[in-house]
Amino acid sequence: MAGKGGTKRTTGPTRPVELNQDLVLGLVITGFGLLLIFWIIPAQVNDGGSFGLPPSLAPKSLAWLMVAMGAVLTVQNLKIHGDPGRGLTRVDVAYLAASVLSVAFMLVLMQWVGDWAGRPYVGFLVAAPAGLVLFTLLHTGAPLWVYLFNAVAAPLAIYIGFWWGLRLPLP
Amino acid sequence: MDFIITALLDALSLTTFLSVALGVLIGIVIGAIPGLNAPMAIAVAIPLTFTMAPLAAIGMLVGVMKGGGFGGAIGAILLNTPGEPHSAATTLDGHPLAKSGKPRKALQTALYSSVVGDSCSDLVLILLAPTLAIFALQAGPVELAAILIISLTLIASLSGKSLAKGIFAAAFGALLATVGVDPETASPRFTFGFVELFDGLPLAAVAIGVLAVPEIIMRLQEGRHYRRRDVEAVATEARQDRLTLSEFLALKMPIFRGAGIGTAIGALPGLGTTLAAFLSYAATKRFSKQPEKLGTGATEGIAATESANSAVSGANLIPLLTLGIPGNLTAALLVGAFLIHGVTPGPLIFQRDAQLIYGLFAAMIMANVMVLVIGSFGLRVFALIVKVPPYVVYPIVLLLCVVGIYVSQGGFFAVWLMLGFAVLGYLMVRLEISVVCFIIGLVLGPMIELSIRQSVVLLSRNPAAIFDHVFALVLVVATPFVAWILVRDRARLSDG
Repeated sequence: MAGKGGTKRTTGPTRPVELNQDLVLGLVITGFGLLLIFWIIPAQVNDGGSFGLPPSLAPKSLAWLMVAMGAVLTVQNLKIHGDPGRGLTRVDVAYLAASVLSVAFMLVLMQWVGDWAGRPYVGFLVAAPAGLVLFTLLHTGAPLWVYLFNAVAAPLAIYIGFWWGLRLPLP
Repeated sequence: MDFIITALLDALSLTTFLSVALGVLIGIVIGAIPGLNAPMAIAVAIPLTFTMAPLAAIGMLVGVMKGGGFGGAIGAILLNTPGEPHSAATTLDGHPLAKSGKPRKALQTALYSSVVGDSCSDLVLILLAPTLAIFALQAGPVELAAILIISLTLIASLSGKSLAKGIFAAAFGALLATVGVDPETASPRFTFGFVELFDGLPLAAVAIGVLAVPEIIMRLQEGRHYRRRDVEAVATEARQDRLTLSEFLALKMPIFRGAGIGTAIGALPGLGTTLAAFLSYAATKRFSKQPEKLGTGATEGIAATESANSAVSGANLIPLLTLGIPGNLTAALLVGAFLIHGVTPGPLIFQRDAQLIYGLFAAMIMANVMVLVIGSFGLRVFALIVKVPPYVVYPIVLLLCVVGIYVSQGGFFAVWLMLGFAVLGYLMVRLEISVVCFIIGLVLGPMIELSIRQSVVLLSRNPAAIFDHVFALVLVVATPFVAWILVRDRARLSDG
């Protein structure tokens, strides 16, 4: 993956100093580990009434291990500027958000229509074509027939396979 | 002996036969699609097995694993697009041979070598595993805890570029394995008030979330920039584009050498198929009479890599069945499938579920035969799969992931979880955090916690009793040194 684009190692004075993503990652892991130890684990794991080893022992040990690894990663990357690998770019984040929102939209629509109709497959047959059109849009550059094929043939094939073939209900 | 005969009869039943055949077909088809691979195929197929009998379900997943192994070679040879890192070794000779007008010959070499390599390692598994399990039964919780810790450290040291990231991924996976009701006190941990989490995180949702969905998103992201690298083959006579029996027999040395290397590497947790494929390729080049031909389309090169990477899959089940330790991602997903069907991998499996295990051995042999039969007859059809445009394949596979999880878990909760883990998986891939370590940590987490708890209870009354467990003590002391040596050697290799 290295060298395919995204952030590059800063080598010359003309290039602005970029943030080392592994350094930030190390700090995030350390912070997350500490958050687990001091807030999430005490709130979510109840040690009261335990007779052997407390239930929080394994989560706390693993959280401390995560803190240690985060610290190691931070220290290892303190003197390195820029990211030697491909890393995570703004385009990646935007694309990930668009993809997740597309799936989330399809799920909400499927859930909502399914609950409203109260019959199996209504939610699926309404939301799946919409979802597939969105997923195909995410790809970019697909010809028109693909939108038609994905929106009509694919949901029908899944409907036939799951309902008529396996007798499994969808929303 | 009776249960072995009953197990064979179970394996030969129509249901098991059809399940294994379906698994092989799914594996080859998904494996052939560029960007998808055998572990993803298993993750996608797990929800389909929920309503099946254990042998049919696990047999089907083993079929997917074996079919996926060969399927990966199709994309590697025809499109120069390896679905998995180990298939990169197959492209070295497979793609040049296909480009020279002999795509069928390249695919046949890959198919036959893959089946022979896989069968050899399956035989080693069948002969060795029951004996090793007897030794493994001597190990108590202290020894088991030490073995699990060194295995996980080995896997973390060998996966990805950074040891710190590897250990973090394994620890994070193990932490998420604690979600659900505590096995000793029955108090909920990290359930955030959701009753659905009382049984823990559903493995299928997590596996599909971190493995399949991020890969699909990344492939969609390539979008219009994706350029298909179809084979522009030189016209060749049909009879030249065929692997003859004499040509196949001439490949026996690279095939059996590859099978040996793959079996040895597969039996050790964490080393993986990529190492096996490239080691076998290097060994074949070293012993070849015409080493200069490797890399230009030599069938020797394809045979060496395909037999080695297929041999890893059978051998990987040795630590899985004898100790309950998955050596790689595929084995980790199989552990999940075993647990879903009420079977706990480990040495006791040969006592508690002997009939199922011997049935599974028979199903593995059956799957090899089916890869050969389905692969031979469907070669032309499978070659067409790689030509299906990505904008048709990936949106449909994404929808199938959603549908599969909804059906298997019976609701939207697991689908939302899958989506959350897809975000995590995408970030992990982009930030080069090992997803393999994460999944193996998730699968091994409960075993490690249980064995450590039992060890502490055993040793708490008399801490000096640790010296009665010399084997465990040696392993625990050796763990940091082994990790240090592996990391140091890898750093030297990458510097070189």
